[in-house]
This record gives sequence, C-alpha cells and structure tokens, in this order.
Amino acid sequence: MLKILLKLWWIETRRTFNWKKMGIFIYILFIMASFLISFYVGGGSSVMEQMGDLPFERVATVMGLAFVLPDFLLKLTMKQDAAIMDDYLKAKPVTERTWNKFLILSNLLDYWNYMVPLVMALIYFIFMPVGYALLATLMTYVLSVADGLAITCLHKADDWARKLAVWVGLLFYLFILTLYAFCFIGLGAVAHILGMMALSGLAIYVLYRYLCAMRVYNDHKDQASSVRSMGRVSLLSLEYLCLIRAKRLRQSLIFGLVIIVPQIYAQSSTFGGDSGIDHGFMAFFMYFSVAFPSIILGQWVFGVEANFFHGLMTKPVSVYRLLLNKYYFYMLINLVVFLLLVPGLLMGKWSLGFLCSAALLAIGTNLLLLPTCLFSTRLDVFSSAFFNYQGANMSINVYSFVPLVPMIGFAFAFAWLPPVVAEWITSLVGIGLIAAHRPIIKRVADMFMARRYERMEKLGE
Amino acid sequence: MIQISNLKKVYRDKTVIDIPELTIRDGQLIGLVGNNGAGKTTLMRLILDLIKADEGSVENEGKLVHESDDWKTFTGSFIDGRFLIDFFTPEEYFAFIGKVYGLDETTIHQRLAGFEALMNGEILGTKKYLRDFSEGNRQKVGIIGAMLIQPRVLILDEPFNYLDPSSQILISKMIERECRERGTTVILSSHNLNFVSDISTRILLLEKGLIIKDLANVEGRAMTELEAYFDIADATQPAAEL
Repeated sequence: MLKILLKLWWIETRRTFNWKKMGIFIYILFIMASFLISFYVGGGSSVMEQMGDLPFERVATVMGLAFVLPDFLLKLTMKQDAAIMDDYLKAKPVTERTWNKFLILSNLLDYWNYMVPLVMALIYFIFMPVGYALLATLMTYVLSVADGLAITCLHKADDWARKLAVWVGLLFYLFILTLYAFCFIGLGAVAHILGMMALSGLAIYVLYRYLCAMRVYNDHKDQASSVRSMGRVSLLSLEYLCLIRAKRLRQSLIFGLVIIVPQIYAQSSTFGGDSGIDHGFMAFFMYFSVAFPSIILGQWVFGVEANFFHGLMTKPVSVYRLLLNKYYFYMLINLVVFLLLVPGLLMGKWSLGFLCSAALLAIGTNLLLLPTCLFSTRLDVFSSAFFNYQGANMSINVYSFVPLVPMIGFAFAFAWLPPVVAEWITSLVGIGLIAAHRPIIKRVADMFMARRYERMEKLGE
Repeated sequence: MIQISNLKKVYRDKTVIDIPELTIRDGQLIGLVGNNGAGKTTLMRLILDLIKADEGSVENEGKLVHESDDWKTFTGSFIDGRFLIDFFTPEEYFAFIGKVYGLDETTIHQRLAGFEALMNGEILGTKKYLRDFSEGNRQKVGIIGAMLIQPRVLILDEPFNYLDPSSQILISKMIERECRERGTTVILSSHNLNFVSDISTRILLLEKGLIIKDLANVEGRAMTELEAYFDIADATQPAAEL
C-alpha cells in the first residue's frame, strides 16, 4: 500500500510541479546564501569577525542553522502537503500507520526539502574539502527535512492548540540548535556537524510521533470560516469584503504593509542626504510605499469577480461601475498607507509636499492598473499559498512592469529637479489623471464590453 | 416575450444550438428537457447573453439581449454555483441583490419571508459564508436570489439538483405559483421529467442542439410522449418481457 501511495504522490508531484515557484525559492535561497558568504568573508559583526578566523567547515553548523528559520518560513508559504488522507483514500484499506510512514517518506523525497541542501552544497564544495562538504550537505538536508516535517504537522493539525504545539516546539528546537551551534563550536568540525544532525534527527523523530498521535478527520464542516460581518453590502463592499475574507489577498496585503511601510521609515535615514541620488531613491521608496497595495490588487482586476462574473453579468451591473468602484477602492487603500506615513511628517523624515505628491501620483496612476481586466484570469481567492501562481498569465506578468513607469518617473523627477518643482509637477500629473478618471475608465469598460464574450469565457475557466 | 431567430452556436465544428425560430410568450412556463449535451444550458446562456451567438439573435421583451441591458432589470436567473458570491453570507448576498435591483431592506425581508419554508431554518442566521454551505443549500440560495426580485422572466438551470425531496416539491410549487399568479415567464431545464411535466405549460425537447419536439402540456399529457421518447416504459420492463 505504501508503494501505491508513493506512486500516487510521484504522479501528483510531476503534474503539479511549478518551475516558477521553484525558481523564486532558489533565488531567495541564493540571495540569502550570498548574504551569509559576504558576511563571512567581509566580517559583519564582532561575532562573525571572530568566526571569520575559523576554517569554513567549523562554521558549517552555523551556516546550516542560519537557514532553518528562513527555510521553514519559505516552506510555510510554498510547500503544499497531502497531510490528511483524502476521502478516496480514507475509504480504501490504507491504515493510519501506513499513511504516517508515507508522510515521512514523502518528506524525505520532497523537492522542497532538498533545495536548501543543494544550494548550500554549492557553497560547501567551494569553501570546504570534499568530505566535510558532503557531511555538511547531509546535515543541511536533515535540518531541511525537519523543517518540512514541521510544516506537514502544521498542515495536519486541525485546531489552534495542535498548531501552537508545533510553533512552540519549533522555537524550542531553534533555541537548542543555536545553543549547540555556538557553545559547542570548539568541538571538531565532524563531531560538531554530527551533533547537529543528531539534534535534527531527534526533532524528526518527535515530529513523526506527533504526526502519529494526531487523529484528524477531513471534515470540512469544522473548517467553516467564522463570519466577519460588515453589515450592509453594496458594489463597493464587494471590494473590501473580498479583501478581508479571502485569505490570499488579505495575507499579501498585510505582508506588504508589514514589510514595506517600516522600510520607508528605515530608508529615510539611509537616503536622507541632499544629493539628487538620495532624493531619487527616497522618491522611489515613497511612491512604492503608497502605491504598493493597489499595485498588488490591481494585478488581477476582475480576477476575484471571475468567480461569480456570470452572475454579475446577468444583473443590472455595468462593467464601468465595477471599474469605477475598483478605482475608488484603490484610492482608499492608498490613503490608508498615506495615513500610516503621516507620523513621518511629525518626525521630520519627509515633507508634506513630498508625501502628498507621491499620494496624488499613486492615486492618479492607479488608472494604469485597470486595463488588466482585459486579460486577467480567475483567481481562487480561498487558496492560502502566498506565492500562488494560479490566476497568473504571461500578459499579466508583462503588464506588471507598467506600474514601474510612474515609479521611475517620480524618482527621476526628484533626482533631477528641485524638490518643490518635482512636487508640483508630479502632483499636477496626479491631479490631472484623477480629474480624467471617468472618461479613461469608460474607455477601458468599452474595450472590455467589446470583447466581453471572450473575457467571460476566460474568466469562467 | 422572448423571441429567438436563427440562433446558432458552434463550438469548433460542432453545432450545439440550432434554433431557426422560437417564440416564448409571456406567462408561459417552459420546461427544457433532453439528454446530456442536448444544448439546454447553452440555450439558457445564450438567452442571458453570457455567450456569443455565432448566428441569429435573442430578443427579450422586444430588445436584443446583446445590444441592450434593459432585460437585466426584470430577468432573474440561476444557472450554477458561479452565480453566487462565495465570500458573502446568505443575508449579504440577498442584500446585495436587493441593492443592485433597488429593493429596500423592508421589501427584502418581506420577500424572504415567503421563502421561509424552503430555507427551513438552515440558511438565514447561520453565520456561514456561502462557500461553507452544502450544495443543496447553495442551490436554494441561488434560486431564492433569482426569485427575490419578482422577475418578469425567470431562468433556472436544473433547479431540482442537489435538493431533498421536500425542497424539490416546494420549489416546483413556488415556480408554478410564480408563473400562475404573477404571470412570470419561466424557462427551466431539468432531467426530472415528472416535475417538468407537472408544472410546465409547454415542453421543449432538445437533442444535439435542435428542438425536436415542442409539446403543449395540457394537464401533464406531454409526459406520455416524453416517456416514449426516452424509452422509459421499455427500460423499466423486466428483461424477460423485452
């Protein structure tokens, strides 16, 4: 039976393999690895400087450790598991014991769990003797499998208490690994690496026992979402309700807010100088901060509505009105970021004119996002993976460069012109676009209606 | 009145709808029957202007559906789950429909009261999003959404699917009453010949995109012809008698 399960898993893995997703994963790993190497070679902190004097194989455990948390977080967003038996398997003679064995085997074979070791292997083999490099690669693999299995446990856990146990366990595991990696660095390299592997092996065993202890039924009724009531509904409420209730959109927006807004506050110190370059970079970050929520949502105009577009099109709802509401909603979320940036005025990090010109231009250029309705595809709003390419297509990928144009224009304006002149020019362009939004949106709506059958067919797929 | 003229829909080389002429008068309750692939849903989608006709046209109350949106203000429809907004609760969905059709809150509540028996306490006040409902209850929400606006034209594809027997009977009676009392023109499709012949005033039998029988259904008399066509009588005979 285990053989059959593995065969099924292999077929599914082959058929659902996503090169783009894998490319992004490897790229992120590559960036992180380069960062670590440059730290090791150049010396970044006193600890790293001290470690820089050690031979590379002696810091292999620290390198491996540095990847545990990022690897876990990346898999949390990308790795998809069949942690619970589907009904068609549950109804067949597959025992829970066989299933758990399958879970551990599938984790050993899962490509997500050997991508980190493969990337790290390149570094190990460049900087270490072959024997050490092999051992360090094996250690990284064991660490990665432990991460992968923890993700499987999270996917299998059906309530918050069981998930919490995994998170607490992860923190404890990281604490022990860190303690070991730094306190026992005096051990010989081989013993140090083997010790690290033993700790991860123990973690894998504990996780496996935990998987076996969890008796979970694939009962979707228990997973019914709790209702976040927003009272009355209208066409505009379609916009914010889907944002609040669809995990995928909610996650991407919150993720963006958490990363990007603090970023602009941080960049204001880095690019706080008076040179044109500083002004340009600061302008780039400012525009991006205000505009990014609408840029994220604007990639898939009608992607959410595609789920019920046929229903909408049989009701007296015009595409023009839908697009107009989208534009106003994008304006609202830009203003939310604007409000988050107001404290920067009080801290003296930027001027009111600078902030307002970025906001006006961002709101105005939201018009550039609306034509994606002409080639967008259906977006499964209830899927949770953040890096999810369902709904993406080549046209959208190409069109995603368009929002870069005003961003670069804004940056160049501030890099080349005196700030006051740049503020006036960009504000006036923004105001002009806002003033012209109705005829422009009408034009886009007309274009959509001219090809509505083809669009409805595509959106319905 | 719905007027169909020279309507043709072709997918690749296959003609899935070919109707030279069809007039559906006000207040008629049309039952569309036919085997899978007969073109029932395609015909409904063409009437609702969801897909493009390769030839011909559909007029609803004198206006071409692909040229004017006027028909949308008085036509209620439910084809499949894609008509539902999954991240809405039923209350929000009905409120949304009310908003789109200009119904105030009191009117919506009054009209929903008429569907209480059908909802059977399983839809309103459940604090669940539509995606979390069973197929049967989603079907009910879709049908209620279509009927809530008290349409002059009502189009329902397989309205009895997924429903329990009580709800099937209830829905069929509601549709029939809607047609009789309010003069609504109804077009529904179903594989359930009993329900169709019980309530329809006219039955259109489709096969491979063609209307092969147009039966007036006075007191359920069309059933005999339908049974003969689908060979129901023969199929239910014991093997020895065949």
